[in-house]
Amino acid sequence: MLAIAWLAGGAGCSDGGPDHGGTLAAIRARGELTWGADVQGGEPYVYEDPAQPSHVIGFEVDIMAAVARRLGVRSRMVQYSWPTLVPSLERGDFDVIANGLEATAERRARILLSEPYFVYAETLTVRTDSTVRSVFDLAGQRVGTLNQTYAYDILRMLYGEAVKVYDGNEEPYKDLELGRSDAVLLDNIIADRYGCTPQHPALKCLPYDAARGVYVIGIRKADPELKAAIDAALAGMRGDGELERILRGARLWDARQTETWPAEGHATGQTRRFDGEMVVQFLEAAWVTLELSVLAFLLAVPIGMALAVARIYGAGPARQAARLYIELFRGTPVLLQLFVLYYGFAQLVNLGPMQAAILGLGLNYAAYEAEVYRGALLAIPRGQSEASRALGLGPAQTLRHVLLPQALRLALPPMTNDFVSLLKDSSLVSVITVIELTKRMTIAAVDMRGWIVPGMLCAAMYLALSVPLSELARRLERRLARDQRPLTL
Amino acid sequence: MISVRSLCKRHGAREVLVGVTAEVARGETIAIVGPSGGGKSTLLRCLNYLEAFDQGQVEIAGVTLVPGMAGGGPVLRALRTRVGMVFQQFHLFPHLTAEANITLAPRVVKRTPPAAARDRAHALLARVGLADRAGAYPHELSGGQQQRIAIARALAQDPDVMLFDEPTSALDPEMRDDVIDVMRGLADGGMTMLVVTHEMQFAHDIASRVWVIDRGTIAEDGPPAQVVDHPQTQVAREFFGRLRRPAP
Repeated sequence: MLAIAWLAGGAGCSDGGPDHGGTLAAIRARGELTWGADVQGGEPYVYEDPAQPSHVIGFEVDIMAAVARRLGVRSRMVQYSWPTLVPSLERGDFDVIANGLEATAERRARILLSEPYFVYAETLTVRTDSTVRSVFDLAGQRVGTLNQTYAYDILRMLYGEAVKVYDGNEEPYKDLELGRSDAVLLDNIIADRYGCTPQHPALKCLPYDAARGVYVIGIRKADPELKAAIDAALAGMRGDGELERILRGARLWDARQTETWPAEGHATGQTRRFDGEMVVQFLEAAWVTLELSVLAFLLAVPIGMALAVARIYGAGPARQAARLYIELFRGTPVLLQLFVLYYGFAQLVNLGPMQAAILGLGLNYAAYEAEVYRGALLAIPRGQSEASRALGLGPAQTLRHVLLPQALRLALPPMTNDFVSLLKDSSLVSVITVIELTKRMTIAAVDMRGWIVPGMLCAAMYLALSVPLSELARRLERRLARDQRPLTL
Repeated sequence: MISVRSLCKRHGAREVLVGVTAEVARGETIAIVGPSGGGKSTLLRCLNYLEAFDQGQVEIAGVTLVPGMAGGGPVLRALRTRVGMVFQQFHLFPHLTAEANITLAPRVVKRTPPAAARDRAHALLARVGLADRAGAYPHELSGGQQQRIAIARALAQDPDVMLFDEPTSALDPEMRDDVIDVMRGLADGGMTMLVVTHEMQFAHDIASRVWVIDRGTIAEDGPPAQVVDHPQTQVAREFFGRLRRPAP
């Protein structure tokens, strides 16, 4: 995601620009302060008003409105995917970040951070029958948290790579309830609203703060005068009680807000370097990608074949069912299908992430394979099945011995295409916590504060997987399609 | 061996066969001739139910065919192991070698052991003069060779009746003779054969009987000496006259 955001062309650059500073003057000139946030962060941060969904509300909306008012301008929120907020700020897509941005030494090395507007506590949530008492009891356990949070840094510092990362607030707790993980470490705001709620009677939040941290406003390096203005506005809000009013209104005011601000989070220490261990991690992730793609395709091929046969030769209901399947799986996003399979059907079948990923991708690609085989079957001359019938072969025998072998060799080039495509689509399964090659790249890109090395490593590994496969397919094609070599034009 | 009673077949509003009735005895070779669109191929295809018919009845090789039989049913599958078919366009299976084309049906339908099927295939290949091409794929063979493999493929099921649908029409003249020689050998060996053809030489020299089919009925039926040399009907006279006209 990070790399993608950096590579994507930039629309809506603000006047200041990333390097030259002068953003405060630009804000005053245009009469508007733009701030980046992600509504996926949900209630109470920044979210769509249930009563009026075109309108965003949240305590950060109120805080930014107050800050802007104190600067004498309007406030406007700009929607960005959370993991891309920092690079997008650096690109100059908006003026500041205000969206649960935790103050860490790593962030301070990259951008300016305002004074805090909120003190949060890292809260550990477990199942009610759990014996875990603190973050130090989690060795060998599966712990979930959100991607690129301070909690993620803490967990990785303590337990290395055995952390399940999520992008949404609900999913970590859902998996915890289902026994797919053993604990979730997240900010108390999230834990209170999504974890230990009446909807999750089997979960409890441990009463001790695992750590404390602060939310701050992120500002570009070149804009110290903007930071000074924002800090002054925040100090004013603290002094005249406006901040307390806003936080109380959002039911966020607690004793932590008046205690001394905690020391700045400092988890990973220093940025990662490219080394042998990283190559090993990438190789492991490439293996996950390969395993996932091969198994999903092995599922997609027979199902696709059955669907194609049903669609061409089946009786009315079978034909309709096959069509429905194809339209449904081809016409809806595979991301949604993975979500439904992993979270939606969790009460029915509690699949592991890898199983759900293989099944989800396999079922989705089956719809595409079905159409490939259908086309191939229809391309076989009628005389073939007539000759087969005239020899006394039954319908199933004709399919098995005459039609499918010929269809397969016609289908080989598009199948190779689909497999290479699947290899890359498999990156979508990171939404259900599988760490495959692309996810590994985005993690490494965050750790290294740069995407070039991880990006090239990732591309090299995808190519190392796909090129030999196309070569294999090319040879197979040659062997199978002996009579189909093209004439020279 | 074959008995056809009042066979009617419609393509939409068009009547293709209009009450065809005929008898064929064991060992006869029938040449079916006549103008295009007269119903020759349709009649042939109705005899092994590759096309269903609307009225009438066919008894062939001990199997009785009536309208509305199920496509993959046991009666039809029994029929097809007893009635071989050879197509104008050969329809060999392109993904299989000559040998595998021949052994497929015995192995799959009759469950002949592979070794026995292979031996039989080699004997049939020798019989059609292609003993050395067992491992060749169809695209490596000439049209005449492909058609002879197709005949061997049909013979591998040990049929009582062989149906040929214009077996030489897609071939160059020099290749036709090889195919016709194979068919002559079959006729001499006592095979019951029905051959839709435009080959006058075949109708005259090899057939034991000639049917002239026109507008869905058998317009003339008799030995070649009678039908070819002394046609009685207008359509037969025109047909043979046109074919006999010397090349310009």
